[in-house]
Amino acid sequence: MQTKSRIFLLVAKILNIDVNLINEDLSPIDIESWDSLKHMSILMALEEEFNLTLSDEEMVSVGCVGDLLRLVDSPRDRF
Amino acid sequence: MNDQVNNVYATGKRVSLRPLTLLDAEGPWHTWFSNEETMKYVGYWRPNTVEKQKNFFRSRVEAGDDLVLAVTRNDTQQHIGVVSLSGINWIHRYADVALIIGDEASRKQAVFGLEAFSMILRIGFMRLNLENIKGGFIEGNEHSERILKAMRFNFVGRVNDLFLINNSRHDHVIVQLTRGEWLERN
Repeated sequence: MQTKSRIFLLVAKILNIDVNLINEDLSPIDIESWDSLKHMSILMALEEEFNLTLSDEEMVSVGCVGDLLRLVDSPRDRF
Repeated sequence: MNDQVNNVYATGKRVSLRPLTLLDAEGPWHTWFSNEETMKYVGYWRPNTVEKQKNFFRSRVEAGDDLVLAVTRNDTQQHIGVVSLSGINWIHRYADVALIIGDEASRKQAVFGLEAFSMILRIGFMRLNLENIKGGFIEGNEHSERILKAMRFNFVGRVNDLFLINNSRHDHVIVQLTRGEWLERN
């Protein structure tokens, strides 16, 4: 499965919404269920799903679904 | 107001940290400590007033050695919370971290609290050269627990049944992050 699809599924599952509602621009402002607890859950699930260790700066950079994609796709030198 | 806005100590993507002033006590700051929802898991809840907040400012913020900063949103300059490093021990180089996002709308979005917390850790380790930052939360406080987990704090212990909230006992969970652990990720 493509990275994008995996991230969309992950977000949909945590927010408990239809995956077809997910797009790269989707942010906490658009979805009421995307509260602070869900946001933290998404970040931690992303780390687990893609075996990542995000820096503080990377965690803070996430404001929408597209940011999650960019984090996973960005080159990393810490592995 | 302009002095407050311009006197920024650290700026992030969405929030900034600036020194608190006596004027802040007259704003929303003092109301957060009377709010049941905000204070539910702080373990302290007594009615607060502007005068009490001014006394706190004079004794703890202005005269004390604690670093207590206002968290403001970059988009609106709104004062949404406070973040602190208190009990700073300059010999052993440790401090206790705390964060309160009092503004309800901002609290619902983790991005503001997460960034403020990340910034105070950077200040602690990189500007104050601390070696250890400690923290704690009352069992059941999911917001604190998840932020501390995300920032890779280690859960080092708990004081059983320390807090009595709504006739129910809760443990105090103690966490710690060392400078070395923080540097590994940052």
